Amino acid sequence: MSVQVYEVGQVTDYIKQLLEYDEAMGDLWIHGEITSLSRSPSGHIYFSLKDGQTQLKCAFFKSSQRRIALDLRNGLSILAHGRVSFYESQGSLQFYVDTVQPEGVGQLYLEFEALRARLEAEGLFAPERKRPLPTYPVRIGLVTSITGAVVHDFLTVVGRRYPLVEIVLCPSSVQGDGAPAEMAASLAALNRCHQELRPLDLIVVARGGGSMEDLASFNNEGLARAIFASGVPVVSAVGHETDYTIADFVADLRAPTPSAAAEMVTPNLNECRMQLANLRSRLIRQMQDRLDSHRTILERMATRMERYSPSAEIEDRRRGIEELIGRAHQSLAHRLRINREQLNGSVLRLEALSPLRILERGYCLCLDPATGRLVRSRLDVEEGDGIQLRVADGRIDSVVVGTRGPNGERPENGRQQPATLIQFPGLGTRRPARLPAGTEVQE
Amino acid sequence: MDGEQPGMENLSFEQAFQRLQATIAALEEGGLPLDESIERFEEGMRLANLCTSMIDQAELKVSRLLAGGEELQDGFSLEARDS
Repeated sequence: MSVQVYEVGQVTDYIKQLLEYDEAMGDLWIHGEITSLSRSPSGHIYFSLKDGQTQLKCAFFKSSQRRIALDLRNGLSILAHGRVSFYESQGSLQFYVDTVQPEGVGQLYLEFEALRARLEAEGLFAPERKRPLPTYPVRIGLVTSITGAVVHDFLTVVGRRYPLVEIVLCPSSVQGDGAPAEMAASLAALNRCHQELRPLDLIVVARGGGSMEDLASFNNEGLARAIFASGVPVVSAVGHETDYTIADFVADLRAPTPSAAAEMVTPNLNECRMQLANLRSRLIRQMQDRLDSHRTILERMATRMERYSPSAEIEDRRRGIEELIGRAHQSLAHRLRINREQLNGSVLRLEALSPLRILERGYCLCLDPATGRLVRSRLDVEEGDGIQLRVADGRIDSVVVGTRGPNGERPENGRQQPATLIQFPGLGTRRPARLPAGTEVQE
Repeated sequence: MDGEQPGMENLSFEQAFQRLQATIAALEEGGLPLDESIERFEEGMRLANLCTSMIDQAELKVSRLLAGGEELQDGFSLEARDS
């Protein structure tokens, strides 16, 4: 007969496996009194649960202590939830506590705490899993009872705050044995709608207030897993200000009431309006600033351009030209004046030479009216001839009555004597020999 | 500029609003050529007007999901339900 010999580790492994395969050992409540309590520097709590003469070693790790409202001390009777396993390095059986309750709470609460602890350990409540909700949702799924005030309140609040959104209602009972499965089915249906019909931004699971028993549907594992499985973020809105349901823990966001949920998942349209007005004025101010700065730059450039502008030189040259023109005018005028003076002089000289001037001095010309020739000699005429005496102011038609030589002698053979200018002294005294320049004679 | 102008009518409020914010941010950051700034400005004003008209014309739509999530019935109203 052979004897089987084992290593210690083989045995402890086997014991550990036995305990961990046993479903009852993995999820149980134990009632007992705390003894030998100690706290490690890292925050873990070790104690034993005592019951008459028996004891069970317990470990309550810091990571599980998040929600204890209980001051653990020796002698305190408690209900502890957790799993039994084997602590190999100590060679001892140990109860790993994940939640503790004071003695005397109800069965429902124990179940609730057990489920909460289990799902929490599984990671269903992990904060890093919580998905953010859009600020401006387009479409919101709603799982709630079609009868009752909740759907009305929710739609009223959403309609008042943010009517841009579309609500996709998927009715479900929210109370009674079938409610958790129905709500889970509605969540699944809305997820299908999200994928195949119209995308949803979030789903609200809502119910009005009630007692712990009324809210039992929301402490259901199946519903918790349906919320966890939803591809669309889920907001739980179970009407209870203080107590949390399992659904609240799993949901991406917990609202204390359905109306609060409506406010939490929608922006306020009035705020949108204000923001919009603000954005609009920022936009306009921005554009104005931009244009102003460009205008300033342009003005600066224009000033700089002026510095290099040819207009000053053009102005200079224009002045030069004007000056030249002015000088040309002056010199021309000067020249004209000189010419005019010269002309005047010539005219005077010419006038002085004019026979008319001589006539004005009192002389007259004697003409033959037939030929118009000047009678230069007494021999040119005979007694009885008509002659014309030209004087300054006209003529005198005359008849020769006789001719004499310079000494009064009678002509011998006519037409030999030099011509004589006949003077009419009277005429010379009647008017000035010469007019003063520039005045007109008044007759 | 491609892909910016078309489909402005199909924008959701959030998309239009975000584009408006982005447009303003781009303008405020500066560095855009003037003509592009003006284009952005005009786009921004169109977006602002679009957002405003969306807000002004908004009316809550409620539809009801039927047959396990395969069909949507539009125009659900509580009044119809109540009657």
